Amino acid sequence: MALFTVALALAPVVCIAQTGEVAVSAPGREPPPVTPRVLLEFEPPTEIKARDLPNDDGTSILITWRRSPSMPEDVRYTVYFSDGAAGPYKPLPFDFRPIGLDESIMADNLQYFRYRRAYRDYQFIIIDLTAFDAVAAGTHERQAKYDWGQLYFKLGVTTDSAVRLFDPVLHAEPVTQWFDWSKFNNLLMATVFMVVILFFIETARRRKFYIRRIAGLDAVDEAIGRATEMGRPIFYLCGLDPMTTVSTIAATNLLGHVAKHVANYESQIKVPCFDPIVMSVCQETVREAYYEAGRPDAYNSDNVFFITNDQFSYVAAVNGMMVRERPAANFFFGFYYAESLLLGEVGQSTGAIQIAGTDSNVQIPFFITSCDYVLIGEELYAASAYISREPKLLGSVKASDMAKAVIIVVLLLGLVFSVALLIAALNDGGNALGWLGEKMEYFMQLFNEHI
Amino acid sequence: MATFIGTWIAAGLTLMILSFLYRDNPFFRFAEHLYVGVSNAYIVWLVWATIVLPDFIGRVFINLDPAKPWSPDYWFLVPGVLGLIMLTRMVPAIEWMSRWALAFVVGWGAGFVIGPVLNSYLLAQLYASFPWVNMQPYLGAPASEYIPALINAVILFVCVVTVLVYFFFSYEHKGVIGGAAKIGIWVLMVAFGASFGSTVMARVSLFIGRARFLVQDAEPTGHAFSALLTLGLLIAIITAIIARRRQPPAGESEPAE
Repeated sequence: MALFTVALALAPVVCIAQTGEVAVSAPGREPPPVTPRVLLEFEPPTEIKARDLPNDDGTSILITWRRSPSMPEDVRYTVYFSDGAAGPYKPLPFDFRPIGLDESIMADNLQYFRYRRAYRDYQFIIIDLTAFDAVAAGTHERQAKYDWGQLYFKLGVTTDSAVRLFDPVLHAEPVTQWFDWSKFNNLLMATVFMVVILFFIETARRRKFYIRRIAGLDAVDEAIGRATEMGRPIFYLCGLDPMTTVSTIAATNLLGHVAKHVANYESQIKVPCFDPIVMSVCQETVREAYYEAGRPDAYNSDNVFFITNDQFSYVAAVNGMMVRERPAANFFFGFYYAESLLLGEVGQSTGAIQIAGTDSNVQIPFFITSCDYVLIGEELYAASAYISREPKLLGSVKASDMAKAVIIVVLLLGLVFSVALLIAALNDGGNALGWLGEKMEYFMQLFNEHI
Repeated sequence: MATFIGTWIAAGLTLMILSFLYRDNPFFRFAEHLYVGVSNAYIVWLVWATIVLPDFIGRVFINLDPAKPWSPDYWFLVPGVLGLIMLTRMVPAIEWMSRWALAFVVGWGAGFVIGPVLNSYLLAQLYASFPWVNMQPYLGAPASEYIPALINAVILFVCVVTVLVYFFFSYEHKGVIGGAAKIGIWVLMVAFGASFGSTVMARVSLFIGRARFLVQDAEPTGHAFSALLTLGLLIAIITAIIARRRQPPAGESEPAE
């Protein structure tokens, strides 16, 4: 009874459909007097099946079918559900976007299917069963929770005014998986990369690695020396991202080296922070750097401070400090957003030497226009190794270069395969290379994000 | 009336912040400190109302919605305790305990990003660089569409490879690598230029939005005063910028201390 109440409350118009192929009105519309001919004039899709969604936590099922070639373009696929095989079948009680004729083809989703050109004729819909619970919970009637084991589905096609449901009735039990095989390529790449890094770290202990000159980093010492001579502080900013991003980790890593130089020169470094966690990490980093430099007495934790977690008030405060304290050098490392130009321009107007480093593509141009030196993208990650020459960091830079070399080889292979496939496809747009072409396509699909 | 007063306070604070274009002054300092204070207070409330209360207290100690059945979920004690440990930084004797929480955050952060970074920064971009993938929508298309798309796909491929070569750190940029790296840096600069242009346009749009707020929302009964205010504001901004430019560089105006 409660379930029935929930369904009534959520579906504006619930239209009862018998098992078999029938037409029902879409929710929110008056039932049409007759089923539109557009829904009856084409062959239904075939091989309609439901099964557990692979590689998930047991909360979703997958409905697949072979699309009908005769379907008109203004018709879209949809799914109806029932809490019993006999029906009645109702629209899903949550937002569900019907899918078009060419959407979500299997060939693009290797996490669910093996790659075959023939799979391009198949389509699928994933039903997230937790959405049923969320709907039930939203009614404040927890007892109305749906029994996933009793949910049945029917695939249908819809226009704006009507729905046609197809046989068979679909049912599948979701199964929890311990291992997500779709991420296996990530695991493999990460493992190989780790082994390569360890190898190069070990090698770096025995012999020196060459690292090309990075112009901005040569200026770090110069900037610190200038600050010491002028008796003015150095401002070091770690960006606006939290401690979980690579650029912030790189910025705090670099902070250690800069702070060590500052301690040696007996200069002063100020680190205004945007994130309280980053502030804590920065305090630890700077303190450790002062200890390593043998100047623990010179460390002042008040110089690494939190301002605010709001973007533009943070900028207003830092800009105000820049103008009042007139730092001799500003370091902007980490990830930045719209504030990059505001910081860079004010810093430049105070006459400070400025070095920036970020992997935020959109903000790099602003730093280029307002700073003396800019580390572009990955140069920020390599900066620590360049400054410290520590085997650990040098090894990881060398390993990342090896990874880039492998990527270039993969790209070149992809180019060769692409040229072959494009030439073969010149006549009919298909794959004239047969199984060999399919293997070439499969090779490229291996690097698809979805796998 | 309250809205009207609120709008004028906002307009006044906007002008105080804009006065920084000339130089640091007491009005800017007042607005700056107010801005930082208000934003901090707001964030403290936000964290309390959207994280601490519903996700910690509401899950472990108190049922915040008596209409729903509730039972404590003690797993949420783990992040709660880690968060409380962070506060030990304020007590020097047990300050070292806060490192546990920091170690957790940094370790989790570094580990967690491996998957997403590999997927979105490496695999997705690698896949999208294959000419065959880029040419999919143009297979069977007429030559007028096919050939430009092919040229586009090849340019994209060359750009990706040369930029990758630029980011080789353990090889000197000489010979073939040097040539490719030079093309790579040109590609980067073209990309940055395009990005710069589009972002500047967005900033101009933001400024127009703020100027509209000042001249229209602040004066609801007509636009005669607004037009004068706009003109005055523009003159003030341009004068401030010119005055600022004429000032000697900061390093020369004051002797080094």
